[in-house]
Amino acid sequence: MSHESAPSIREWLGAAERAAEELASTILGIEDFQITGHALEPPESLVGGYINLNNDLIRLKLGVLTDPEGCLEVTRLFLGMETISLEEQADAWGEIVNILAGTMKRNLDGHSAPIQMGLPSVAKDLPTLPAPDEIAATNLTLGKAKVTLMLVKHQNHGGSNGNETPR
Amino acid sequence: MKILIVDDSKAMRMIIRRILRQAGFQDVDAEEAVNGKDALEKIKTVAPDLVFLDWNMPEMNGIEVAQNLKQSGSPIKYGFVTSEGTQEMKQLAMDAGANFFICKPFTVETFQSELAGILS
Repeated sequence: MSHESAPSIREWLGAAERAAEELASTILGIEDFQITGHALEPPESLVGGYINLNNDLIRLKLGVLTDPEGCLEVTRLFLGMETISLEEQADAWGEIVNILAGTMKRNLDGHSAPIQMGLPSVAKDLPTLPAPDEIAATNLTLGKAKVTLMLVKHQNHGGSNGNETPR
Repeated sequence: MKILIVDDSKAMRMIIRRILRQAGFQDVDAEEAVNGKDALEKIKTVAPDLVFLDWNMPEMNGIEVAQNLKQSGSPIKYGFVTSEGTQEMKQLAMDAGANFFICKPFTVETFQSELAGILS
């Protein structure tokens, strides 16, 4: 790959999968990491963390989706605490999204034109998006938690810097 | 030793405190700042020996803090704990006088190796 042949959405998603595996084996201390599928099937009761990555060519949105139980499970491991408030869970989930996006970007360092990361946001809904050019997803397990990595790609026609509202 | 942990995520500030303890750096007095502007204020009042900077933060980011400290000739040591870790960004950090560069997600061993010569 080179800057002239920018990574495909599958290559970005693969980099995000490797990022999730690295997060599991380091800060989370989870040995049970498995990829279970590639269908985008968000849970009915959703906790979603989102972050934008932009350059002159593309706009990517990485979403990290789970349900409230999954969010509690992963953020407990992340913080090393049993009792966590909803506010702390949201902050921790946003940081997890930030780490996954940064590691995804690092995993493709040298293969993509420089890309700017925004700040993460956390919501109980899927974001409202203009029709994407491409969308891809990976379902995986982090311990007992079921998590979906979602990537939405738009060709960039200029304008937005893509930053989310800071948490 | 006084340290200042600068990160907009409370979760990450807690994790850095925990990792420092686990890495054996017990004798540190840790203060926190939530963005770059807050960090520059706290640096004046707390006078830390070492500053841990996140990169992406609202108000003012970490590299701007590092560049500010370098330009002012501050004797304070500083470095990055960030999810941003491309070669370009590492070079920017080193050009801004960073003493260490730790990528998230990190391990206890990463902290030990990066900080051994600084926090010993």
